Amino acid sequence: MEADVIVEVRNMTAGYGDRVIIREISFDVHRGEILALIGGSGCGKSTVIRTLVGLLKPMGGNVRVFGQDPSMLEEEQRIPFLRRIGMLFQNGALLGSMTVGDNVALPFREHTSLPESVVHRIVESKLAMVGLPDTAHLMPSELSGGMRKRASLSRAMALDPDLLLCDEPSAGLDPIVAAGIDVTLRDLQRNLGTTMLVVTHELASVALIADRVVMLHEGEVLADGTVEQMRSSTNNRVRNFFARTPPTTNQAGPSLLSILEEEA
Amino acid sequence: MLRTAGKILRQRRPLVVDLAQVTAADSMGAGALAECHILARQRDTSFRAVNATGQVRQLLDQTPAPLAARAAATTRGSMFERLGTGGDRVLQGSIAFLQLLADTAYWGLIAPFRRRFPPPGATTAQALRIGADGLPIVGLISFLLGLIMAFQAAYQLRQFGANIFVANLVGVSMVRELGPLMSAIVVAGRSGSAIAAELGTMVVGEEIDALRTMGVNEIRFLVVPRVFAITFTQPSLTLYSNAVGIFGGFLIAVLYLDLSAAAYIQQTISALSLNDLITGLSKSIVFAWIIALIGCHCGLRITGGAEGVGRATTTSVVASIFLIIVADSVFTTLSTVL
Repeated sequence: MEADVIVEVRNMTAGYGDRVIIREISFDVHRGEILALIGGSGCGKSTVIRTLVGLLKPMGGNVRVFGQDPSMLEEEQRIPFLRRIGMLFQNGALLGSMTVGDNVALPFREHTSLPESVVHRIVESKLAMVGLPDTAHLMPSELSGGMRKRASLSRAMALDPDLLLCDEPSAGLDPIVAAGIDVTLRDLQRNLGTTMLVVTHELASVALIADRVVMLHEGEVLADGTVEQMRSSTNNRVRNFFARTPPTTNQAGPSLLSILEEEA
Repeated sequence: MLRTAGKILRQRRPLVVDLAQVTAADSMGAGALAECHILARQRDTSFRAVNATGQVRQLLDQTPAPLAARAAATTRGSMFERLGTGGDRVLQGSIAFLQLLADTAYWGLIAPFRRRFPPPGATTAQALRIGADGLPIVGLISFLLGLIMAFQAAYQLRQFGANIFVANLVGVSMVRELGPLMSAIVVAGRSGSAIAAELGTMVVGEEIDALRTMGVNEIRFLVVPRVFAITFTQPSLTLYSNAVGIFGGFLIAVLYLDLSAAAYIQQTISALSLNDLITGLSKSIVFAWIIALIGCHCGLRITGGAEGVGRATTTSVVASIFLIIVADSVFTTLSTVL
C-alpha cells in the first residue's frame, strides 16, 4: 500500500516566463477525498493543476504525486505515471478531428493491446456512465457544452485513474447541467474511490462535493479546511467569498472629477 | 472640442473648461476630458474642467482618473532594445525548430524499432489530404506553366529556326526546376498553412495538453504522420506536375508550332537524363520536409488565441516558401559547381 497522501505540494512557486503566479504554496490531497481548490479568477488555480501533471515545471519547491516528481520523470516512467491520472480540461479539450468514441478510445488504443471489439464495448459503457449513451459516432463540435464536458470526463476516467484532476468542471454551464456533473463526480468517487482535485469557483458545487477546501488568493494559500470551517473562518476574505459579499468599492484611486477640478 | 483644446494645449497654454451649461455627458465626453488632461500633463501645462453639475458631475465622479504612468508606458524601446528582443526571438525560434527536427527524427526513425508507432491510419489520412486533394490545383498550374514556357521559348527559338528545342527547354526546366518548385509552393500554400492552423487551433483548445496528460507524445501522434505522408506525396505530386507540364508544352508545340508529335516526344526523351529526374525528386523531398516541419513548428509554438492562429498560418507559408527557394538555390549552386 502506498502512503495516504496522493498529492503533496510543498512551498511550490510557479508561473510562466518571468511572471510568478503561485508563491510558495503547500497543501496535500489524501487518498479517496475530493479536494476543492477555490479562489477568485486568475489566482493561479489552473496553474497548480498544470504542475501536477508535469505540463508546467515549478520554479521552486517540491511537488510529489504518487511519491514521484511529475517534472522529473524519465520517458519510460511517464506513461505508467500518467495512466494513473485523469484530467478534465476547462473546455473539454476533446480532439476535434476525431469522433467522441475515438476520443474516449484513444487511451485504450495508445496504452493497451485490447482487441478493437472490446474497446468498442468499453467505450460505450464509459459514455453511458456519464449519461451520454449513443454519442460515440458524433463529432465533438456536434455536442453541447455540457455534453462535451461529460464526454471529456469519460475520456479522463477511461483507464480508471487513481487521481482525477478537474479544471472548472461546471463553469459556463446552467445550474442543472452543472449539478449533474457534480453528482457524476460524487458518484465516481463513491463507487470507484477515485481521489479528486477539483478547481472551481462555483460555491454550489463546492458545498455539494468537497470533502475539504483549499482557498487560494493572489497566489498564496489563504485557508485549508472543510466547508463548515470555511464558513466560520476568522479571515474576512474567506468569509466574504463564501457569503458572496461583493467588494465594497470597485474604484481605486482618485476620480476624474477630483483631478479635473483640483489642478490649479 | 477635442481638436480646439488640443491645439491650445499643444502651444503649452493652460486651459479651463466651464461645464456649467453642459446638461448631459457620456463616457466618451469623460474620455475626451481625460485625454485633454493627459495631453496637458505631457506638455507641462494645466487643464481644468470646472462647475460640473448634475449627471455630468456624477459621471465624472464615477470615472477613475487616468493613470499617470500611461504616457511612459506607450513609448517604444530604443532601436537596439528592439533589435535585441527581435534577435532573441529568432534565436529561440531556431532552437525550438532544431528540437522539433530532432524529436521528429527520433519518433519517426528510432521509436518504431522500440515498438512505438505513429497512430495507424493517420499517415494515410494525411497523405490523402496533402497529396490526393492537391492533384487538381497542382495539375492546373503545371499545365499552364508548360503552355507559358512553350510559348515563351518558341518566341525566341523561332528566330533561329530551332523550334524543336522547345521540347528540351520545357522538359528539362520542368523536371529539374519548375516541377518540384511549383508543386512545393502550391503545397506550402495549401497544406503547410492547413497544418499550422490545425495544430495551432489544437494548442489553443488545450488539445495538445490533453494528449500529453494522456501520455501521448504529440510529435509521434501529430507531426510524424504528416512528415511521413508528405515525404511520399510530394515526389508523387512532382512527377505528376512534370508530366502535366510537359504535356502542356507538347500541346502548344503540336497545335501552334506545327511540330510533329513523334518528334517532340523523341526530343523530350533524348533531352532528359536520369540525373535530371533524381535531382528534381530529391529536391521535392527536401521541400516536403521544409513544408511539414515549418507548418508543425509554427502551429505548435502559437501564442494567443484566434489571432495567433492567423499569425502562425501566415508565418508558416511565408517562411516555408522562403526556405524552399533558399534550398532550391543551394541545390542549383551545388549541382552547377560539382
